[in-house]
Amino acid sequence: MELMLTIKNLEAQIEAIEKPILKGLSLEVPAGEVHALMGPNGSGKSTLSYVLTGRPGYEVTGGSAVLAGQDLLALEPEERAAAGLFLAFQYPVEIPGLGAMTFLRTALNAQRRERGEGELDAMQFLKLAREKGRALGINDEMLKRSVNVGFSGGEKKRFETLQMALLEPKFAILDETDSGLDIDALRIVAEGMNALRAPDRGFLVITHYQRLLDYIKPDKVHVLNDGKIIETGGPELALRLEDEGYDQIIAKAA
Amino acid sequence: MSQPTIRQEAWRYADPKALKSYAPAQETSPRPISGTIAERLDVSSGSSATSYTVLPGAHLIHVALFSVDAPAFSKLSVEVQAGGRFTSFVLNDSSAYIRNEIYVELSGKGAHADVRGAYMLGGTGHSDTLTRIHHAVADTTSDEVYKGVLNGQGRGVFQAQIRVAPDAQRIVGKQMHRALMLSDTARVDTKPELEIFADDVQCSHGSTIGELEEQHLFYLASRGVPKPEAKRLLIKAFLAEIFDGVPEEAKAAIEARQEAYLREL
Repeated sequence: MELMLTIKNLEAQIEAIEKPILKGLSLEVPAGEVHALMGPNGSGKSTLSYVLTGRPGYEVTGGSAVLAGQDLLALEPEERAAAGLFLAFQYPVEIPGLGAMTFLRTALNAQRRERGEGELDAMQFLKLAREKGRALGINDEMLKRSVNVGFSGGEKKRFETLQMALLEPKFAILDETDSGLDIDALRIVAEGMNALRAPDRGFLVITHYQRLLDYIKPDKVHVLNDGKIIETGGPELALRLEDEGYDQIIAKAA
Repeated sequence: MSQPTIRQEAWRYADPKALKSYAPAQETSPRPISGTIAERLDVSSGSSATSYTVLPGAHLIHVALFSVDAPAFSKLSVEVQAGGRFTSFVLNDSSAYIRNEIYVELSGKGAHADVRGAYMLGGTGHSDTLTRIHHAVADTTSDEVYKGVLNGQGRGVFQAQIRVAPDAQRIVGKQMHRALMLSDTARVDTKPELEIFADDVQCSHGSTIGELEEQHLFYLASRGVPKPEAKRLLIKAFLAEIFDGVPEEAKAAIEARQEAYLREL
């Protein structure tokens, strides 16, 4: 079993207020698997996604995080992306004036350059983006707009999924991709993600709800509370949480 | 006429040293514009004054490029008659003091002015803009947007007035100025002014001064875009609102200036 993402005793805090959020988090996701991360509000789910991707403002105070043999914590955010890490944002950022197509092409070419691969020219890229976009119901008109500006909640999440499809990461973190989506949009996004499942790719799906896991079947489910994993199980764990809430598991772990 | 000094309100944020060399240009009689005319002015150092009368139903598109390394003083005066349009684009990437004055008189019903400007300043540029838009009669409209990017010791000044004459009703006058600071030694002074002597008007003004947004930079970084490239993309995005509307003839020149500025950051 080849490990894709290995996190050991990770400790991190919010820099400005020195508030510890992750308190010794350990997690392993093998290649080819999809793991779900669930937990109550404030347990550190989004912080984990930001610490792994290197968002400024978070300070790692202990532990390690390794992606396919590379020490993530030693890399700049853009180097982590080129190493194959991808985060689908819970709240994708709007950038007025930056065309969606330019944004996508710049990102893909920056990663290809970093990996020593050739860049795609405008025509090659357009063809690729259209083809990948079609499967997600993203048309040319949407790609002509500014990044995420005037996109509905569903369009933003589909655009995140398109980025993932174009960048073909080794490992993707989906941060509450289901928030703000109706059932139809949820299905499109889940199908887009399922199409990317591959033996050499891993996923961490952060969610509050079992609903998303009906569409994206996880191999394992982890429960995060107060900065630590307190329980790991199969897909049935998510169903149990849906019934019982977090209280019993938290009480048992305490 | 005596030399202006920074004691005078309109010259308050000027470069006193540059003012010493100032000699006002000879005012010439306004050139009448009919049909649609696109004018391009490559401003050189020293003083210049240009004026136009946009005849009823005509459209003047005026592009002024400032790219000099010695002080320049420019004055553009435009009267827009009934149903006429005036569209102005200004680009300033100079390394010296630039005084740019634009006076617009909307003198006939249905006259409209679009005023767009951008300044991109490196180490020593000082962009001093003064605009006066006068809605002299009812049913006239104006829309002004200026954006500045400042690096090093760059200095931006934006003093803009919208004036609505007594009883000039049903006026729409919009004014916006946004500055993006790339260094903590850059400086911006901004002074919007509305003088309104009518009651049925929609006039607005706004001014923002900010830095590149951390969350924009991180979003690009998380997609693999290195910081210097991300900065350039975001500066272009910031200025896009101004440059998107530039007439085709001037587009190449403006894009070349922008690329040159971004390369040197």
